[in-house]
Amino acid sequence: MGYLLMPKLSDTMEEGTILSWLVPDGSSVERGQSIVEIETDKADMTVEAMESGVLVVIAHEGDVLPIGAPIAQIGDAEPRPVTPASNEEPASNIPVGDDGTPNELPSIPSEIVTTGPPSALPIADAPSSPGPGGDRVIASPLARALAAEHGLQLSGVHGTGPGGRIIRADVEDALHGASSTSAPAQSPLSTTPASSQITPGSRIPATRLQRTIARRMSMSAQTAPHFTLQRDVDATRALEVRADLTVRAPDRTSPTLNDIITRAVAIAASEQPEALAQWDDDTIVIPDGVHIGLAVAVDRGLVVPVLRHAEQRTLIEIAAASHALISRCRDNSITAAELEGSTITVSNLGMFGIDRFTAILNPPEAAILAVGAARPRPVVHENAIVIRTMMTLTLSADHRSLYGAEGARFLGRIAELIEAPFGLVAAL
Amino acid sequence: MSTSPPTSVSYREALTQAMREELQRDPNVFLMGEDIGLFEGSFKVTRGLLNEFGPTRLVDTPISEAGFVGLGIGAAMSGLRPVIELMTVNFSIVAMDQIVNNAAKVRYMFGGQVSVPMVIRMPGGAGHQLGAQHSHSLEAWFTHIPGLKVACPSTPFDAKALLKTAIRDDDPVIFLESEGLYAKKGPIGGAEDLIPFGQGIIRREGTDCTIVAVSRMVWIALAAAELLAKEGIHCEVIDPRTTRPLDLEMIATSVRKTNHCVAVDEGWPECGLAANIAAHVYEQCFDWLDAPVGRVNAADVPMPYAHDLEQAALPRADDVAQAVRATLARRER
Repeated sequence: MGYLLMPKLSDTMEEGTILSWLVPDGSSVERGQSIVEIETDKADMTVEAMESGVLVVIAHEGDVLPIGAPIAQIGDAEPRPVTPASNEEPASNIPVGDDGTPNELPSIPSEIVTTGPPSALPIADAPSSPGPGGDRVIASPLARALAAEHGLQLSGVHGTGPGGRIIRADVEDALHGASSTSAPAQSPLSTTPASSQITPGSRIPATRLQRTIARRMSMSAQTAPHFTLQRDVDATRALEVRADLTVRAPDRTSPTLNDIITRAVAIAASEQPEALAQWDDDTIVIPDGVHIGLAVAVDRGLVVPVLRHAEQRTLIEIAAASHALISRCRDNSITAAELEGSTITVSNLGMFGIDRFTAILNPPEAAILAVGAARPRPVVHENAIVIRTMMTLTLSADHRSLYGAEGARFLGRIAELIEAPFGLVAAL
Repeated sequence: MSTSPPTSVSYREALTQAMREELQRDPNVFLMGEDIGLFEGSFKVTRGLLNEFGPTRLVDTPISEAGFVGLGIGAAMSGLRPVIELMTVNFSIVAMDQIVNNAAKVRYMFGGQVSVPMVIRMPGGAGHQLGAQHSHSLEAWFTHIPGLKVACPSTPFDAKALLKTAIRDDDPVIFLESEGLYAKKGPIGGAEDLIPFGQGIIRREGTDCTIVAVSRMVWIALAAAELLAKEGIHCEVIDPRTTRPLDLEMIATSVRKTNHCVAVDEGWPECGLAANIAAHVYEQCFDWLDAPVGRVNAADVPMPYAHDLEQAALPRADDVAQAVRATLARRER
């Protein structure tokens, strides 16, 4: 296995442009065979393979590279797994459903799944190229170790090493993209591409925010075993209290129903701190406070500003702080520090008419509360069927650190506080 | 006789001093080899020693490598400390049965009742248009053999200190000098400055890539590191000084810091020293590696006689620099 480096083709040449590959990526080349045309400061030159083997293109046509930069690898005959983007042939053979997932998996030759001595496996039948969706992630051992340490899924990381290998720098880039702490001067939300047109049939490069969301949600869904608990809550009195406060304190930010729920979560969690216990590599971590993340929709994405130590704030203070945080998300002035460290998230889709939904945990949090719309429903109240303003709360929890009974007690306490809301305003 | 060593002496003279001091210190030490007495050695490493110590301590031999290496083994088993000079490493091949089957095995096969406190010195390496048969670098051959110790000094200081350690060692030591380094000058140590075997040295500190190189290749690696520093690539150059035992801890510590490694030796690539170092690095540092270990070796051909071809077949600083760049390479996002 050797690298083909950008050759020095003239005395004054400092960099060269890859004009065209004369043989396709992944094909076998013979030593001495012309394989690539390179444009120098003087002329276009053809470069030959220095050894026989399988060509793995590193630099693509149009790339301008300095002398000595690797432009290809010429390796042994075993085909290397190719990147998904270039793996079009096998993919097109699979029936695909409307949602883009394969209708059925391609059949696997039975020899591959039989157990037995390795010699029993006909080598010709062994998969010589990766199957669809089975592409191995090519990453350096260091990149793998770093990713594992930070709970990062490598499948979403773009590899910039030779042959597209994911190297340390790529993992660091991905991690920095996740925390955004490396660029505090820049708003973490200012990642929307210049063109935000959504055209049918187009492929749109994801923004850093979108990549981060995708990576963190995949990690959460894959690593945290979720369970969900649901409870219908009577919000009638909470809404009365809200209306009352709006009248009594007109100069203050009037609390929304969401602020009331946030306050209830803060009180319930401070009474039962184990409800926020996080799983961290065989250790259970009890957070230092109730830092409530507020899921806020922004242009083509989602951010979660954090209301720190909500358990120490009154309802009016919570209302003012969350109003300020949400405004700063919408006008892009939120800072990275304000988006970190939440210990539970409240996500509300009631304004879109959603009755109930289950949310994916926001790592490393162990709980997230999904709030549906509050609307009049017929319910049994004091032995009569009456119309009350009801809403459904759905708690998703990480079963590694939180169990059903604890979760039920926690959600029950939240419901109780909302249904008897004077406790929430006692420290006005 | 002056007791404070000169500040800058040649690698050749450093070796002479080591032998002179050990001949003076221990009456059991004697030198033996072709043309080492009257002719003062083909590379003049034994210059002046015949006059100083006489023909019982400096024995000229016929051209019979297998014979006088065997003689040395017997002398060592009987309590003497022979220091044998083979004119070059190329002639060790005719004595290989004595070296591998006797010198390396005697202590083991006699259950530790006898040992072979013998040193076999020999220069190796190519670059002087001596043709395919006289241009070998056989460090890997000797390093392969349990029962031998192998020293490959790269500086005058190490040449003197390691040779003294070798002469005082109770086991057979293959002492591989580099023809290309005999004229290299530098500081040397005093009569009791010894270097324990298995203790490497960091010749240059760096953060981006570890280059492990032995013997003359240390200087090639340092030249490459200098080239790369101008590009902002900072290499750590490690000289293990002995290839058996090997200072694996130093190499592994460095690779865990830099996450990249290139191994350089003047021998051929297959089953070579660099291959061996790469294997150790993979075993010890797998989860710290950000790229495959690079190797730089002589071309996998008999050494050409023609000057240009010979130079092209030998590892050069540019080759090492390219290997480092390849391990650090990143393509555009």
